[in-house]
Amino acid sequence: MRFKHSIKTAYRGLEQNRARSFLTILGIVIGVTAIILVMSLGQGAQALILDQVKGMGTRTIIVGGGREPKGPSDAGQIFNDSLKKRDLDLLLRRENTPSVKYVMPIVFGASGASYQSDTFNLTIFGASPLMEKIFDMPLKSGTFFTEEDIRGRAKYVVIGNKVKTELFGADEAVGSVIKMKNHNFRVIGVFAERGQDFFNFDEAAIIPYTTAQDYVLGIKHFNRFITEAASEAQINDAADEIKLTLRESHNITDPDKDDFFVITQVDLAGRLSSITSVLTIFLAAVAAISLIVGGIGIMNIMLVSVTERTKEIGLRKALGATYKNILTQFLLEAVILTGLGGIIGILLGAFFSWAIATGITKFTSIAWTFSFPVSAAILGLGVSGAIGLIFGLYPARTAARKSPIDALRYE
Amino acid sequence: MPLIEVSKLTKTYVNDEVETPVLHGVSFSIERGEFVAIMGPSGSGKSTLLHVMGFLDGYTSGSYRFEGQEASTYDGDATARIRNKKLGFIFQSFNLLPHASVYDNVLLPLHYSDVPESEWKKRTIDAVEIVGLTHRTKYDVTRLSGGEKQRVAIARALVCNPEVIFADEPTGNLDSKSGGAIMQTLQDLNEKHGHTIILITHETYTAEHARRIIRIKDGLIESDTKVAERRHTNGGLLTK
Repeated sequence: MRFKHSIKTAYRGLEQNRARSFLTILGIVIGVTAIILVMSLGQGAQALILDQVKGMGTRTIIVGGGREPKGPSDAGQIFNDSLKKRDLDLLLRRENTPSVKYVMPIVFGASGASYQSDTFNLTIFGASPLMEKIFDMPLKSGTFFTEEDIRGRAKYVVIGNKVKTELFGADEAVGSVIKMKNHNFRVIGVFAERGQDFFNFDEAAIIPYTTAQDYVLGIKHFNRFITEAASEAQINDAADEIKLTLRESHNITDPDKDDFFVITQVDLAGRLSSITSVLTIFLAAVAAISLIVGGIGIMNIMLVSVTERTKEIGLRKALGATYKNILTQFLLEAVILTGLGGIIGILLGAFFSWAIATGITKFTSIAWTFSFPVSAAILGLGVSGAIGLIFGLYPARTAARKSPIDALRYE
Repeated sequence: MPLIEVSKLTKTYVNDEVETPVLHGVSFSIERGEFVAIMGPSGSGKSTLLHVMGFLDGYTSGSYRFEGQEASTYDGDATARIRNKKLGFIFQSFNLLPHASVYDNVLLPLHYSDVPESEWKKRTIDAVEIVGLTHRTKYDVTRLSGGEKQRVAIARALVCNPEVIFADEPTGNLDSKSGGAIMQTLQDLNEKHGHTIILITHETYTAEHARRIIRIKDGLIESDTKVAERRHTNGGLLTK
């Protein structure tokens, strides 16, 4: 029996029950669609996160107070106040951290900002002029504040592009005064638009960290130190130097008891991408359950089909079909069914993830890129084919085992 | 060596430990080129006999030799090959593939054969022509009349050029006119093409188209006689 003919026969068998065949593969279609969708969105999210982390600069090392937040239970660590002025001074000493080029303290908090009758909720970052260098943030207009302004606790603010648009519209912002936490700040600069990034600077206001600590947030500690290694080769050395300096400053001998954490940009990228990978795999596994349910549906319908076509099976056997011929025919039917479901699922999944990607790019400022998950598509097709084989085997064997005479007599 | 040699053949169906003996020991032989009708009332065992001879069913004891070889020595695949190569079947209820063309129905046995694919088309067209259905080649079989359907079945039985054609009540579902035409076609296949034909029927009228009649009753052979005066019907369909 020729393979080509087997396919034609199987196809004809399915065509005779078009509506039923379609309903049968729905489970597979939904399962594969879901898998493709999840994988594609997962890839997109991962690419986006990695892109944003890379935007921080590859040499960036972040130091935070408290334990590194590893889960929801560590959320309180964000209020940890272990990083003090003393630590900043020690880190700034060249002999303590020879591999570190810049150290910038950062404090942050949420605040409303108002200008005339307009109000906008933003994030206040207390930073230093190093901001421009570490994050590569060009100004659209105006200037950045200086070391002098830090010392003098100047009430100057550099605002993100979105803040400018929300409060001032098309008007000139530099020189105007905005109100945040009951203090007046003079706008001295506006950042160029950055698009969605890790810190969302477009919706932020940057003020001298001293001003932020004393007037706005009322705290003595720092939330983060953003540091930069002198070169990419020195990232690990720099991280080690920072740890040693801080342990000495905090009188810590056991590294397990660190009340601070140090993350390099590479660590951060790796951690974030492993989180999205785990999430993606978990969601894909949930979707895979529907594939199994779909497979059981296929088996059920194939059994019905075998019973319905008992007479045809008997006839084919009488005309010389062997056990293998009949087995192949029904297996192929199942595999064609699930394979078809797989292909439709891949197309639908690709379409939906493309639509979502397009929607995100169009209606938000997030630079989401659509990526077709080739490996997931191959996997989806392979798995749905395999499901056809596995769940088709029992009905196909039932068909192939029928004795020709019993089958012919069947009414 | 006879083509078919049946000796003391018995067949007992076992169903849920209830034994139903159907054949009680029948013996006869059939030579190449014969046209034999097996007759008997329903329940006599004639269909069972045909199924055993057609390698569609096994037997309980005794011996059935086809071309000199004992049938029970063939395994499943070997019986499938014999059915495909050496035997042709015509059934009372036609047993055609629904929603398929005349051509596809006649072609069907070739798919399971070792006939090279290059010959399939010619063989199929020839077989369709023999039964006079060339003008219906592309028709869906569900659109054909009963007589035409049975002719498609005959063409299908012929397409692998078998040694024996088994016809199980081939006229049972047909009116007398198309039934007669079918019988004449079988007769012509026997006389002009030399096919061995084994016919199962319960009508004397139909059986008299054969050269020899074996009568079966209650699983035993009642009589085995030559037909003195063979019946012929007008309207045979053979075109060559």
